[in-house]
Amino acid sequence: MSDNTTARWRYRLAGALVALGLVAAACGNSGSGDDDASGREEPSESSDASGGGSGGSRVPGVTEDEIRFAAFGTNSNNPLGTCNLDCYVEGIEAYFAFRNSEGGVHGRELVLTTQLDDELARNQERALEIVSANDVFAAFSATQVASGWHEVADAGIPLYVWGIHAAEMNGQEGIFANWGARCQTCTSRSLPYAGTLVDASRVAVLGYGVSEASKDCVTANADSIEMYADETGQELVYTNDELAFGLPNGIAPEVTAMRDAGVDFIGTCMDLNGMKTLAQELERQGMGDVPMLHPNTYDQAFVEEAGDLFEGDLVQVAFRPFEADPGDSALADYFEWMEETGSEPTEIAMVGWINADLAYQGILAAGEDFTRESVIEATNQMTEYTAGGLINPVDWTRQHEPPTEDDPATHGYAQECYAYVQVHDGRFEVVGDESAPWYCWDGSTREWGEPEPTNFE
Amino acid sequence: MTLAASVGSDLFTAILQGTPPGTIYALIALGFVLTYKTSGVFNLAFGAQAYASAVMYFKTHTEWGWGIWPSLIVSVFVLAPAIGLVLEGLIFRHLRTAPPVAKLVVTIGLAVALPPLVDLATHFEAIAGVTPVGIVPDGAGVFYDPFGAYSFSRNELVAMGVAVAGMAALGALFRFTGIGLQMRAVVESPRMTELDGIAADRVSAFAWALSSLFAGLAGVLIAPRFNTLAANEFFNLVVVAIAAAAVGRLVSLPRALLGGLGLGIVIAVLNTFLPRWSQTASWLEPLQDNLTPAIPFVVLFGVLVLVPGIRRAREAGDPLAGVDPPPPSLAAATRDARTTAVTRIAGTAFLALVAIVLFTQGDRTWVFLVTQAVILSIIFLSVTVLTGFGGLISLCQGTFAAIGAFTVFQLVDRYDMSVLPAAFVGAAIAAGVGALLSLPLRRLSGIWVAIATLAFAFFFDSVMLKFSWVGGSDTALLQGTRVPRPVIGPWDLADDKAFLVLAIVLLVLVGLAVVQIREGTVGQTLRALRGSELAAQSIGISPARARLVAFALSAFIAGLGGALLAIHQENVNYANNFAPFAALFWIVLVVTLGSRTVEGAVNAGAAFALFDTLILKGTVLGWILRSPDRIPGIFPVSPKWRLVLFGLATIQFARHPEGLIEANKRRAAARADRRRARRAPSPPAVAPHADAEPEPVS
Repeated sequence: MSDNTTARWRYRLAGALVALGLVAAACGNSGSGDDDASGREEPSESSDASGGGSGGSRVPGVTEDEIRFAAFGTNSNNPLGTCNLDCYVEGIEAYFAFRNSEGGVHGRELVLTTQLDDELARNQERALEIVSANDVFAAFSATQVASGWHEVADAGIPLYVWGIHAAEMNGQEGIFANWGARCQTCTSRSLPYAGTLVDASRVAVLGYGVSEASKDCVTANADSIEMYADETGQELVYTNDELAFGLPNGIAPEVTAMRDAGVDFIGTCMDLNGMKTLAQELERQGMGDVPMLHPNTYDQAFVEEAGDLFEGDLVQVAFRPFEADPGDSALADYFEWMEETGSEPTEIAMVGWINADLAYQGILAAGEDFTRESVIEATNQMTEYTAGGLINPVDWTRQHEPPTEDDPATHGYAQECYAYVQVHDGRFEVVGDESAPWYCWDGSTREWGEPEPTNFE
Repeated sequence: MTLAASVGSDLFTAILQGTPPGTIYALIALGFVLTYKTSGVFNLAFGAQAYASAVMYFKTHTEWGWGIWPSLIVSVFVLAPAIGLVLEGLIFRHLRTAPPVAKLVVTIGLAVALPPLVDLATHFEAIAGVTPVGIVPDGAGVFYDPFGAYSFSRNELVAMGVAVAGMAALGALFRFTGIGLQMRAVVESPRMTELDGIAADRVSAFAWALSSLFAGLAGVLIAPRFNTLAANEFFNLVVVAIAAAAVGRLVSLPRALLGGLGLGIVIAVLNTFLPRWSQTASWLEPLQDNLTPAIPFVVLFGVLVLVPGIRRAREAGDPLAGVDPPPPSLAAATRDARTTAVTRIAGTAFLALVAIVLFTQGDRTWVFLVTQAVILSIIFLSVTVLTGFGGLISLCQGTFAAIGAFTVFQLVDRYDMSVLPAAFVGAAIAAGVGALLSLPLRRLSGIWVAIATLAFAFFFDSVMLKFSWVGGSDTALLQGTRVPRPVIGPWDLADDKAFLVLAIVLLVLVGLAVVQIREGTVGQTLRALRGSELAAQSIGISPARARLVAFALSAFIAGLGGALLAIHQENVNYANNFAPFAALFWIVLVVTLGSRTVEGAVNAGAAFALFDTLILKGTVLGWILRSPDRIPGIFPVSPKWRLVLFGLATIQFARHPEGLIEANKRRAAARADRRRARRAPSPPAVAPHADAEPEPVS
């Protein structure tokens, strides 16, 4: 390279660096999440999008006869093979059919007009389609990857979701899940109490090492066992938070280690496929009788398919179990309208039903002249929302933020409650009183005590 | 003494426990070796072929209730060889003398295209918990404990038997039969084999049918290990099994078998002893935390980098194929200047029109999609540098992009740094990682570079991601990996259209830089190395330094693009954007459309972001018909067709390594030249267009 060329390159490089430096000096970050600072044109409440605003109403997605909704989530490419969006929508449609049979709300029918499959990786795109079209009043979402929830919430559109993505929900006043915001690192009474139900004394906790969240789940469970060890008489004898996702190498050495440690009860942070692999290996190594607590296996078809692999295992249920006595709760309505609409009752359909109920209750509470903003506001004033006795009461005035280990009261549930079912002959059975299937403790402390069988009708 | 006995007993148990997964790896590794020996192809689509038979067996046996034998015959003995014959007849027969890297790219395309094609053809959807069953009755429910230490299921024993018998039978086939010799001869030199009176086509077809049958058998035997039958599980297994095949240097069946078994056993032994020892030796804890999930990738990387045989291995090539000509000039350089000018003006006018419509009429979805396309174009320019100029295939471009994205997240989260400078820091870190990665790869040949980069991508995915200083800790748990938009002086780029302007400016700058690289010393050096490494060395070019520069530049561009993608989406969204398999599709797209030009990368970016919406949803058709209501009922078409169409389009790569766009431009230029020649009274001197000339890739 000649001297001239070298000098020219040096000048260019220096020029580029100076330009970059100037740009860097002028750079800052936009107020993320602050709507006023976003600079975006947001869909207006009074915009006249198709399907909205006609007939005197200026609210998008609301006509004289209808209130329109969208649902988006994962249908195709779901590697877990679970039914997500389709089953979720069945619950929503069953609920809408139920309410519409009673005349709808404020003289309008509830209608699901848009259904978008995010194909696992296009959640944000689908969310933007809903925001851009601006032809629905509110949206529902049940997805494996919730990359688009903030787009809907930032647009001021009420969003009701299957709440498995804590990070995407926390602090979002316009996103409502089927439960309040959760603390992933906090201890809980669930696993220790489940252990007492099966007379456990030597407990193991397992989970995937694929992410910090998964590892934290294991840590929280392990800490819970140790925290209440004196009261429950349980000892944590084996912990593993490094399992490879999907267990491609099996789980034989880990099961051997548990056998050698004398484990008599196992808590996990694993998906249902992983639970099946674990159960198969336990069976193979003569530990088939050791009960487990499943976090994600409330799926009758799945359990039935597994034969007697899960016999005696406990499954934690996030709502009033199907097998419980419906009493005066909405469970009877759920069964009736799922049948009426030709759908099978499933866990995810129940989530859809609960979400749809909250949407309905919010519109009802906002009054005749409701808008998106007023519905969000009205919903956020509900202090004991139970979806008709289906879930532990949520206080939406303070449960958009997760509680902390040190302060369970400010943002936590008033009562810490769990419902369990146990597998017998391939079927689920409620643990305890079928008419009061919840075991509850005072939510303001983390002290141990005998739980109160509770009913939220 | 007691302790020693206990350790011995535990070791024996661990060895037995590692055998079933090891058998699975061995089966796939044997399949790799079989395909490589009989076709000269490093078949990354092996898992996809295995998946096809597994799905067919599942459909026939589990869903339709056929008996084991009819299901087995249809899925393994009919479908699998048929797939092999189709692949050979339509694709690989025409690639026999193509460079190994070209064949590898085609198999990557098939790995992407085949599973969705199978799903679409058979209407298959994964169903949780409906576990595939094996080829013996009650295969998962009956156990045998031959050593009194660990029991094996019938399914596992059958898989072990098939692996050992398969290895012996294939070994005998190669050693003692004429067809075995002929298959190897066809790989070595089809032309020389034909001179001997052997029908190379027929031998090659038999080889593909055989290897595909083995893939099918492996698929049916592997499937019961998964509680839900899903294609991604097969691909992940394939990546792990490559380590075992690499132990056998792709040619030794016994070593591949032992490599697979060894891998399974090593993992089981470490999972047995590391947790125990780390209780007393705390220094082992990080090893336990991080090594066990990464063992296959560490082994693979280690084998590639440390085994001299692989470093020195020359890829199979036909001595009668002749010397590959240098890459032809780009069409823009050879066609007449007026055509180029007109084309550029027309292209610029079209883009300007699109921009005007978008900025005045486009809603947030369209702005989002176009911004995605622009940013992906930047990322894809990293492929242009490495593959288009250097002839190297890197399968970890997604990882470089992820490094840029996570750097932005970390710098903003921890130090409240501005995102734009953070993006450049991320790009610089990615460049550093790329440069470091190039060091152990400096002596590897084409396909091994690709495999080593794939191993690195999976290593990052399984190990690095969970570190709090990479994937985020408490903040990520509470808020996800959120990233804000930038503000430059008075401009708040939270506005989507303003951010799109920034993305376009950066694309133009990076595009200009890439053109400079192509025309400058670095580009010339890479082209020289690509033509002949020895010749380049003889004139003083250092291959190691050139690779280092190419990897660093490519990683810088990918890192910058990844950072911009995170800023655009306001979240890193690793699983959506950067996971190894997702990034594999990037390579497929870029090499299909054009890896040597900026235009190719931009088209690939547009295809990735817009193909679904414009084509598969029928939007363009709706525009043509002037109403969305007139779009035929077959729309929207399944998004899986995108993978199928672009995956299968890589078949063109061997014939047109410059990409479909450049090939079409050359064809158009040649047509224009012919027309001009016909019209002119005397034929003018026309620069030759190498339309039909294959271009060397490495």
